[in-house]
Amino acid sequence: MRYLITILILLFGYDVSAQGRSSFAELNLELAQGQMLPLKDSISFHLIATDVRAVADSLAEWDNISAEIIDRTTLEVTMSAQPIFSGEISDQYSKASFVVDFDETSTAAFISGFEPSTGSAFQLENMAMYVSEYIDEPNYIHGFNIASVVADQRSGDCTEYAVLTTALARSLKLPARVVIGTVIIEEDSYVSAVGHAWTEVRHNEQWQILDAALYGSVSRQLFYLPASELGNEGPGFTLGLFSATSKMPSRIEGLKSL
Amino acid sequence: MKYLSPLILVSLFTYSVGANAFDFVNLDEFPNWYQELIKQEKSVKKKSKLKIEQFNIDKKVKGKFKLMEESEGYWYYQVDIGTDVPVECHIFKEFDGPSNSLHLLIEHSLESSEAHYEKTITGQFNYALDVGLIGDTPYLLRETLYNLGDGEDRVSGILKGLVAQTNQSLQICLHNEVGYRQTFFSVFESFITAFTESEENTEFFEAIYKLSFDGIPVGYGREKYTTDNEGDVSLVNDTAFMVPVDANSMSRTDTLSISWSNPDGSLINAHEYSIDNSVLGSKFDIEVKDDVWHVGGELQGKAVNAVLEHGGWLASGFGSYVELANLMKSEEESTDFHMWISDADPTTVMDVTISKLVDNPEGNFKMKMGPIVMTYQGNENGVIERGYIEQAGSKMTLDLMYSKGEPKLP
Repeated sequence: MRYLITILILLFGYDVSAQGRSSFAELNLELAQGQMLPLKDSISFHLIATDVRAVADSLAEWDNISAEIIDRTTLEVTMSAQPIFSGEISDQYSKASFVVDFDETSTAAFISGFEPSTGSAFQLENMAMYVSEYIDEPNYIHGFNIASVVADQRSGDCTEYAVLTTALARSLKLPARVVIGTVIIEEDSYVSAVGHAWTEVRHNEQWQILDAALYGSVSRQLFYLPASELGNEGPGFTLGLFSATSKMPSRIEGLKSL
Repeated sequence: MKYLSPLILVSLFTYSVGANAFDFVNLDEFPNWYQELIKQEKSVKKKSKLKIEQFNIDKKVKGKFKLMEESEGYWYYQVDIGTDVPVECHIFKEFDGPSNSLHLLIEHSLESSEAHYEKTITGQFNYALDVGLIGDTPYLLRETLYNLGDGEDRVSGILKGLVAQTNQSLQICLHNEVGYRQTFFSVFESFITAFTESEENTEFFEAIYKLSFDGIPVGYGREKYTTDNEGDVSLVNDTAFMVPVDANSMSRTDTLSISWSNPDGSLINAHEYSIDNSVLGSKFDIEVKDDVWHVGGELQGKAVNAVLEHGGWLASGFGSYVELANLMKSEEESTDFHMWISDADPTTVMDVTISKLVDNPEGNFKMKMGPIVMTYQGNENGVIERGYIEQAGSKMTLDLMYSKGEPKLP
């Protein structure tokens, strides 16, 4: 049994980062018949998953996204590009943890290099830009590294970017959390979906998505389809990752503009 | 439904070595002359004597072995196999693990090529991966396609690497020449057999699994069970895998776990560690003191110490077989037990449920551990013959390559 769990840990190393796409992160996605590009800024699709009830319950925590169960494997999902978390603000979102360890020496050194600006939304973007530039060796070989390791190694993929961004936000007294999900990427001539991780930051009384891994992306549109937050930030974070990915789609069908 | 016996499975893999490697690069994309080069093979008729007293080896092996370097716990040979470039074989007494050690030698060899040709590497691609058996020893094959230099001065090569871990040491062979995949394998096979024929195996049960990710063979897991004079059961479990995370990179993980179990299947203690991409990823010990489970160690360089809330019986790896055997004999539909699985969460125990599946073509058991669900086909002894976990659009599969004995006390 042990081998199975160990190898699954690597699942999260194979998703999208700033430098391209991993071999294993891409999900099957089919556009609805006759759907042309470009897409509008709201879309709908059939989400295929093993436990649609769990997926629907999880998606209910976000505004700008709705899900209706069609059958035991299919959800009809309608969403805009950036769903907004509407759940409770947990104390955990402001604390240092085993994973988001902004109190460790290497993380603190990374944070000390950040120069916040004054404008509100501008400041958030600066955080993503800083993390994007700080990680100077993007790659997929890491399973899931904690913030202090990312700060030290300066390498990784979307999970490492998200963990470090979350650490930076919390150190600045902004509630933040790591979210695991799928990003639907619209390019000029095609649309794809890949497993992904990003940060949600509470700022100006609202949750906002910060995605350092795709900072500066030239894709036409990015739709962030959340699966779950990383609920377990302790040494058992792997279990939290499994739990989150169990709510990710196995494929997306019939995607169309609204 | 009848099951393929482990013996048949072993035969299938033993005689298909190399031929079933997963090639990442389409041969049709190469010019015809290069395709012919890639397919070339040679029969290695010459044999030489391999004598290493420390491992009690005194055997004839394929190829002309020449000892080039020997230091404490390390041996390096060049092997003339009748082609332009010799095979290079290394033996290590101490090592990180098969996948990490192979990676380091591949990187070192590519650096040597840069120095030899006085050109820098301008491209490096995962070319092939394979997992298989030599006798009862699992091996990993990794081939790397590389370019040196640019423009008209550019040269390309394929570096083949094979690694196997036997009882006392790690063996790695490299061959930096296009083609000769099967030729290279036959030399490595002969080399490894010299080690395995000189070893004494005392385990009463052993199982080796091939791990695949979305159909790509990425590694193996091996478990060996022995008993001591008091009847306690020792389980040594090692895994090695390499995951081609993109066209150019390979993620590497090696793990080792040594645990002791009471004859009834209850855990006594365990020690385990993992090496991820040449760095110690985790290291844990678990033991019981004053009827309480204590866990100590580190994860990603940070100390982890915990007293488990669960104070009772924990199933060992051997215990999971005991539980399954009891379920198979009973009229019950499922069985529940607790396990400590550090890779999932070192600070707590996992509730494990194994349920019987009826008339399911994908397996006869389902194992659930928190959010992890595996469907598998178990044989009459509860040994998993094949299984899979499907999550987030990916499928990880497990196939029994070899088993010896039964997971029951002798």
